[in-house]
Amino acid sequence: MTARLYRADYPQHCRTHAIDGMTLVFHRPSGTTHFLSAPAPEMLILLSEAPMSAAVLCQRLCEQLDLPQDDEALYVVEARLDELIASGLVRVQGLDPH
Amino acid sequence: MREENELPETLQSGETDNLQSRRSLLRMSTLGVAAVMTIRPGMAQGAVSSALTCSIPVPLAADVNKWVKPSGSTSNSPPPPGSTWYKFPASPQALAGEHVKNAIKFGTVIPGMDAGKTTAYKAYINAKIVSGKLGFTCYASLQSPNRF
Repeated sequence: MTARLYRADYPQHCRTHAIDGMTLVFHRPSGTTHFLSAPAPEMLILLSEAPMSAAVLCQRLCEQLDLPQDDEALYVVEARLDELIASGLVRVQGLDPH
Repeated sequence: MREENELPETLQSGETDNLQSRRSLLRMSTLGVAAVMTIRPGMAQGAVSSALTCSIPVPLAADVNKWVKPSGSTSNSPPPPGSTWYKFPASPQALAGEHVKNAIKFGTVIPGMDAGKTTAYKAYINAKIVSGKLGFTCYASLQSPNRF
């Protein structure tokens, strides 16, 4: 089974600012600015600690938020990852041989 | 008016709301709303689309009658005959962003110039083209590692 690993250079290469419960992020490498709502900033922080698969990210996110982990949560995490990839804040690292 | 003893109850209901909103974070019902919204101001968009066509004036208007030294600093006087100090006159036209990018990134010479002049101009750009100066947006867009 192979899994895509995701990585983020947040927040080292970003300037962030909290506004009204959302996070304003200036991504220096791309020069673009993004407004993030939960759980996108939480996902970025977890991904910046270590590259991980969507399943591991979902597990850690659910632990952090004290929420039950289920297929629906994973589906939402994958959808949010797609958004973050489209914005350039998250990159696909490669294939995990495990 | 709220009494002091009502406060804990209010907080408790706030916490319940918070837990509820946390739970809904990872539910499909939230997917209708984007979690990432990218702001695209006109300037940022312009910088992206014109990175290859933008230009940098060297030297700036303030230094137009000066000579550019290899260090990037400017001099008011032309190089004396037989001097080993190289100084280069102002470029008659602004440097193309793409040529500057290639010079910075790959060490190529700017077309129509030799290595010495390219080095001097690069040093000048590095030293003088700062935020607020003409050509800075172009220069900044060339620095972006993911762009090229």
